[in-house]
Amino acid sequence: MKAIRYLHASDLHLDAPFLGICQRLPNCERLNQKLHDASFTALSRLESLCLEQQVDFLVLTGDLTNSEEQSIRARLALVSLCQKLAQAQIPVLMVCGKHDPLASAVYDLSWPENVTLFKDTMAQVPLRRQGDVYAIIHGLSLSKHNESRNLSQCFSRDQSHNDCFQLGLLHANVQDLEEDASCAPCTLSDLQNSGLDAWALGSLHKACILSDTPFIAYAGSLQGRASHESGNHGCYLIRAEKADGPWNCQSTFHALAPIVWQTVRVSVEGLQDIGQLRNHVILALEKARSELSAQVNCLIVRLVLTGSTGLNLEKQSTALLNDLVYLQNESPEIWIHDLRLETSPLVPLQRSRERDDLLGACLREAERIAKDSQAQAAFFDEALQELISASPLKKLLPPLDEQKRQQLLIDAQKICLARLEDGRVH
Amino acid sequence: MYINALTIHDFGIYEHVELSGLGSGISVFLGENEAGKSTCLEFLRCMFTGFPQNLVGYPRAKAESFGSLGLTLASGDALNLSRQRENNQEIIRLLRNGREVPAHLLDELLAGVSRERFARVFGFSLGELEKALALEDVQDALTSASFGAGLREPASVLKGLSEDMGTIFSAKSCGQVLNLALAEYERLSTSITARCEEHAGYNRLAANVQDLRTRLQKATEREHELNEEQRLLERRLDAWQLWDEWRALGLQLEEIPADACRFPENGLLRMEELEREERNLSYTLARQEEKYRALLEQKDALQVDGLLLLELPLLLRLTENKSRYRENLSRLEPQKANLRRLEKELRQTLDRLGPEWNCERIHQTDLSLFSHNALEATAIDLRAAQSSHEAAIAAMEESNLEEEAAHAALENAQSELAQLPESAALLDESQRDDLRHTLARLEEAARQLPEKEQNRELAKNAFLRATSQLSLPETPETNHAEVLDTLLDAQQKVRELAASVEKALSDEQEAEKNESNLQDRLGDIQQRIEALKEAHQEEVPDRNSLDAQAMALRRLRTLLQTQTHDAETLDIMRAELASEAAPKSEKKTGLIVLGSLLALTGSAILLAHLILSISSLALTDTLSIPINLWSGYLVLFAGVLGIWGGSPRNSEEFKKRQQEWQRKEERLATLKKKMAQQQEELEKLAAQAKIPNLDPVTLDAVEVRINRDREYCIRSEHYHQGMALLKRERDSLASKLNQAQTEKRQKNDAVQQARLAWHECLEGLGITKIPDAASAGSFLTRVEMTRMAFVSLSQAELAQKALADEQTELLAHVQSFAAVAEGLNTENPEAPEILARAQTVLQLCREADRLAEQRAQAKAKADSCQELCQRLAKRRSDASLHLEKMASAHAAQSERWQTCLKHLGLDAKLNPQTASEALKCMQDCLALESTVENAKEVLEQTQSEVQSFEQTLAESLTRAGQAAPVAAEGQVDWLGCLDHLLALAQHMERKQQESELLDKRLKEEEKELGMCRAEHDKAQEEIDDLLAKADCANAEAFRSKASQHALYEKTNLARKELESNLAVLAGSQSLQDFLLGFEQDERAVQERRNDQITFTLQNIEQEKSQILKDLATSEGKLEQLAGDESLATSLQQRANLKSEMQEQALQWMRLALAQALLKKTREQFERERQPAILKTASEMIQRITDNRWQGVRMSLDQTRTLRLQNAQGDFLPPEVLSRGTQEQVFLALRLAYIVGHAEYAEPLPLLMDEILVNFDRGRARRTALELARLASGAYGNTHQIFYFTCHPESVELLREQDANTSLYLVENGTIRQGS
Repeated sequence: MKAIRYLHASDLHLDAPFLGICQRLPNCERLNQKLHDASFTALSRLESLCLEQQVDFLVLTGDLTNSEEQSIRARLALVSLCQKLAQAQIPVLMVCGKHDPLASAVYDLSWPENVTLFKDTMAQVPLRRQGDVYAIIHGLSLSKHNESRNLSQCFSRDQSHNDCFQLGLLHANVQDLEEDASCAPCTLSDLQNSGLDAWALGSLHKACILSDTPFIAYAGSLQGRASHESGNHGCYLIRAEKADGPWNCQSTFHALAPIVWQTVRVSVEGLQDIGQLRNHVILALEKARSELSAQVNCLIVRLVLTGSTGLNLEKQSTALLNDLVYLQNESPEIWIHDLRLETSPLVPLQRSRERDDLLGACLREAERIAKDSQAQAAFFDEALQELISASPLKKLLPPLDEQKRQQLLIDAQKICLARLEDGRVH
Repeated sequence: MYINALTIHDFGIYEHVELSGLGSGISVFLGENEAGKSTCLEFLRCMFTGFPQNLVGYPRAKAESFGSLGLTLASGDALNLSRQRENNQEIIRLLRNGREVPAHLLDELLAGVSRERFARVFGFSLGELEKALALEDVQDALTSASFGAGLREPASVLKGLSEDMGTIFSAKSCGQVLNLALAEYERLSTSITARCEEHAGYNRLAANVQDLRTRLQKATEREHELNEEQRLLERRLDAWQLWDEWRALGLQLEEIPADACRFPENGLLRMEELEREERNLSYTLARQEEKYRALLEQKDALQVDGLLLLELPLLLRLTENKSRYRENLSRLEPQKANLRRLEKELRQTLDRLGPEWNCERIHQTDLSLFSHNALEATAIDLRAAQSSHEAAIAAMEESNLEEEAAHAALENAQSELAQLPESAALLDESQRDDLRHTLARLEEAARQLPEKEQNRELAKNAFLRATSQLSLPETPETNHAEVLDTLLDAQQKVRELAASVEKALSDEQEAEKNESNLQDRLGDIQQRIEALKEAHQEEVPDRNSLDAQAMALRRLRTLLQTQTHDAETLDIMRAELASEAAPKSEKKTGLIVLGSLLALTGSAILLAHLILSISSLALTDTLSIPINLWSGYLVLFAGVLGIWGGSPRNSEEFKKRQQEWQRKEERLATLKKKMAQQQEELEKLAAQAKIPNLDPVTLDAVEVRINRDREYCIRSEHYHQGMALLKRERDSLASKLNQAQTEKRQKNDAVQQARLAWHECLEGLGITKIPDAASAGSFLTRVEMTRMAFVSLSQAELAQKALADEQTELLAHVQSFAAVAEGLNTENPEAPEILARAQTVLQLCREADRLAEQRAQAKAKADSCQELCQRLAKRRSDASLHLEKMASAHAAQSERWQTCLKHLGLDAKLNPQTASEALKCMQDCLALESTVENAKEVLEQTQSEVQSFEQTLAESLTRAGQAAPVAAEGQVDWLGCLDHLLALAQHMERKQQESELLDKRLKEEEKELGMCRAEHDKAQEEIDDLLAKADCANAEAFRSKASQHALYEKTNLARKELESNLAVLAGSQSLQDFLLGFEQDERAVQERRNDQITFTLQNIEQEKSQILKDLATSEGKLEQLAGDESLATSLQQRANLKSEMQEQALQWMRLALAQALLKKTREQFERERQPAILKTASEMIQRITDNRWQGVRMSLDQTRTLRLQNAQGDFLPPEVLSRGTQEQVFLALRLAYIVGHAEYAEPLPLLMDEILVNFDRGRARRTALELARLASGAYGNTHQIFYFTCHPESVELLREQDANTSLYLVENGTIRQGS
């Protein structure tokens, strides 16, 4: 039997805003425009890849747009993609995800004939080659944002076409890989026991292969939208071939995103001044840039400084960032959207905590608060009352879980240390 | 930690110093002034805390490596600390127990002690101890003592945190980063919601567009159908037209004579061609005959010379060799001249060798390469020997000159030494150092005195200025401090009152601003209302009337189009009627005339036969007409028949044409009537639509006017709606304004009350001029500044007094030197006199030193000259020996050269250069001889070629019978003769060719002439044949018949074409049936249907136009929505803003948590703990002052003021103490800090430079005891102490307290252990 080649892309989130970009970033407007065009560029590359590879079909596994944002440009771009593929006689099969559930206006469009949009009831679509069925595509769309059912149990192998390649399309969270575990949860064994030859999944924004046989994979998002979605993003080109036993799938990841997010960590250990730090940072950024693939136009960096140092980086970080603005004008461009200080003082906190002075007492008090949950809650409520009582702000701030509280306490200790010992020269 | 060894590399005065075996207790470094004690202290400080980048002002740093320290930690570990500089970077190397450890270990060991703190607390000199008397350092010491060593004041940290938080967020105001961002976030959210709603209508709009497209498609389809029907109708009308033409052509064919159809095919054309051809052939024949005669005459005129023709090839060959001949002629003379020159040159070269030399002798001489090389080598050796000999002579002369100069210098040095006397100094080195140091201190004191006075004046002025700014009550100065203290005590209350006034003012301003905003908005709305009214002053027509006019206009346009079409139809019909004559009865005039003639002829025949009895009428000799009754009646009968046949009659065709004519006339009348009705209706509609004229321009103008009026109507409706909205808004704003004004008055009352309270408070505190509440902060700051100015004034006065005392003591010390005292003229000399005498003594000492140094230098110079003389004598004897050796070598080489010359046959006296030139000359002669031989051969060859050319040409002239050329001026012009003869021969050749060509052309012309004659005869025959075929006698008859035939053919052809077209239109139907299907009145029916279709099409067009308009609007909106990126931009902006807000909020939280943490700890710290450092310091002060002072305390408020408790229990500020006591207090604070620091960090060494000099004997001893206690670990940890001093009694003092005190002597950049 002839091999089947198809492309799997997911979580396009066309025209959706990018997260974590600070308004005060130099030349922010120019970056905004680049971000705005990035998902469409990636979509255009997906179209080119389909036509270039002459695949048998394309599967899209949900979250193609953010329905609540009503992006018309995104809808039209999708329709345009399908029309181009229709001219090349490439079928497109898609299911809806949690951000674009079936009821949303996104899919209320006139799609070309090559498009199959699966509804919220289980359906199977046969694909034919010269009149013969060569694949059965099973699919099920999410009908609402907060789908809590295990939808994978609705899938089962079509025994009447046992020899055909059978692929399942689903937007689901497998084994709590995501933070938002409430979206159509299921387990890997649920998928493996369905009897299908392969699964194309959506929802997780990082590409990963969960199983080789049957082939179960998340394609990840087409374009990373936040700093935690770092690295290359794109789609899988899968080649399925039947030997004597089950269908054997071999996948190739194609990076399509024009913008790549990355966290660059630089150690400030032993650096004497800001000039040395600047040189180290530039070296690290250049290294990151040299590792980029050719299709990347822009690198957005979260710069993390680590190690123990006596430099007062809190005051000098703005000057450091201004020194690096020139990187925005090089190719590929480098934008530093965030600078995080994960440095530690030269004298470890534990050592300072043993001091018999105000600083030592202060750090010991912080340690006590960190260990006593009741005292901690009271301390936070009292210290942050002014901010939290401003209700509009409260809605916008992320909830302070235990981990964040602990981190804030450590940061507060570092501030106490730095401010009380201000003027020290190490 | 203590220092067990130290190594100094090139630092200041020290070049390389190593010291080991240092103890952990007290070590005293004793040395005189400028011996290097301070440099050593600075080195140790730099080793611990780093060398500054810029070493300006520091002791010299000559090398890249500074040095190293051997340290022993409290744990017993050995640590080696070294610092060096590489590439302008300081490198620290730490070895712990021999293994390298990270450099930050040093920072951990120092536990936060900065360079400044180390210099102030752990390693300090007397001067730095004095510096600690500044107010800032007191506060710093207090801070260190209260909350911990080396920490910043918590109050300032809290203030900084609060300020930083305030820039990020405040719940009470709105200008902070986070507050502004929140407002922007809400604005963006509102904008996004509106955009989303707008974009949500996209699908509905898209459906609407789809519906419009469907409607448009249907209308288009209907239009196509009607167009198709109209097209079919037009085709039917076209077919009817064809049918009508076909019918008319049939009638025409019937009128053409029958025999016109028989005529030769293309007869007329063929006849014209044949006639034209016959004329052309006649002309050509005449021309050919003329041409033939001319050629014959031309041939007879040509004559040819045969001899010249025979010589032509030879002449051509000679012509080809002309250039060679000319070239040879030109080369003859230069070749002869060259030969002569070469021979002359050869003779000259031989003459240079000598009169007896010729080429044969040169050939016999040995000129081989070997002999030449041997000669060259001998010449080189000879030249080398000669130059060596000359060099030896020059060296000998130079040696003699140097020896003479050295002897002269020796004599000079010895005489100079004899002239210098011996001298001794008044003071030894140590006395001089002491005197210099004392003078320097005096000078420094004199320099500082004006400064101190100025400081006091400045402090006094500052205090007075600060007091005047505060407007304190005019009381004695001592009361000012109390007033200030009272104010400072009540500052919290003052601040609260000021804040309340500020808040009330802020509220009032806000209310005022609110009111102002409302008024602005109200004014803005009023302006908008006025603007709307102004913009809407024009008359607005009635909407219904406009609709009626628009409807009438549309109907009018339709009618006008119909009328135009009808008018065109009317014109066509009129033209048709005009072109067709009215149907008349058929009458054949020719037949009637012929019949009449025949009838008359018949009657004449009958009358001739009956009356004249004529029987026949002869027409020709052989032809006659019989005259009888039969012939008469026959002709008469034929004539009657002809008249009958030609008389008019009503045929079927006539009837049909008549009926058709009547129909057309009826249609014409109907159309005219219809147009009259349309005209009436048009006038009615024009009146209704108020149109004066019905031309298209007027109609367009009226339509534009109607559209404009309708826009006015729409605008008017919008105006009314907008006006209503504005009025409602204006009323609402007016009520809000009233509320705002009331609120403003309330706020104003509150401000007055707050101000009253403020005034009462300050008056109660004794302030006469009440400051503004807004400047309460600055007022209180000024109060604090005034209080500080008061303290500064006291300090300045004390400092001035201490300086004067020190000056007196130093002058007494200067007088104690015997050399100085001896030179003084009075018993109680003034300070300037003492200083001048001391300077003179020092000057005399320096002069004595200078003379001693000069004498030593002169002696060394004389010794040096003596030694030089001896070296030069030896050198002269060596040069003499070398000269002799070189002279013998030169003689040997000369003899060898002469032998070589003899071997070559040359004169033995020749020098090497002349011999070389002679050999070169011989080689030149041989080369010239060869060149002369070659030149002779070339000349002979050229002469033979010239003679051969001339001889050949002369022979040819003879054969051709031409005369030989005549010589002119001794030269024969052979080339000119050749050119002339060649020209004659070529002319003969051309004549010969021309004659042959003429013969050939004559033959051709003859043949062509025959052919022309034959063709002419043939054309004539063909013309006769064609006339016979057409049965015509001549060409004129032939042409007449041809015109009739052409008319017949044309009509017939046109009819057949129409038939074929009609057959095509008939399609599958037979042509006969198709033709029968046409009727003459069919056209009118078709035209009526066509009109109906046109009307319907116009309606469809209007409908389509409307749909297209709607479609364009909707598609424009769709396109706008599709291309609208503002939603995505706003979403991105909002996301960015949210990120920023979260980041800012997190930062605010960190700061708030740090602030809360610090506040909480500070309160707890202050409440629960008595500062241990102050306690330790108090104990030390008690012991040092022998309980004269009980200890040190400080207040826990923000001022952190330091107070010392005396024996009576009173607390006094340190400023009131003597200088020595102040130094003891701050030394005690330092020692207590060091003790406190060692409790949580590695105990550090203590370095001190001459700090006991201002202490009295008892306190110095007790201080030394405290140092010994510190070193021995009485305070918990042992501390190493380095004490640098120039006073041996300090050593004794410390040794009294600690017997293990080590002594090291510092002397001129060296350190060694003392006994």
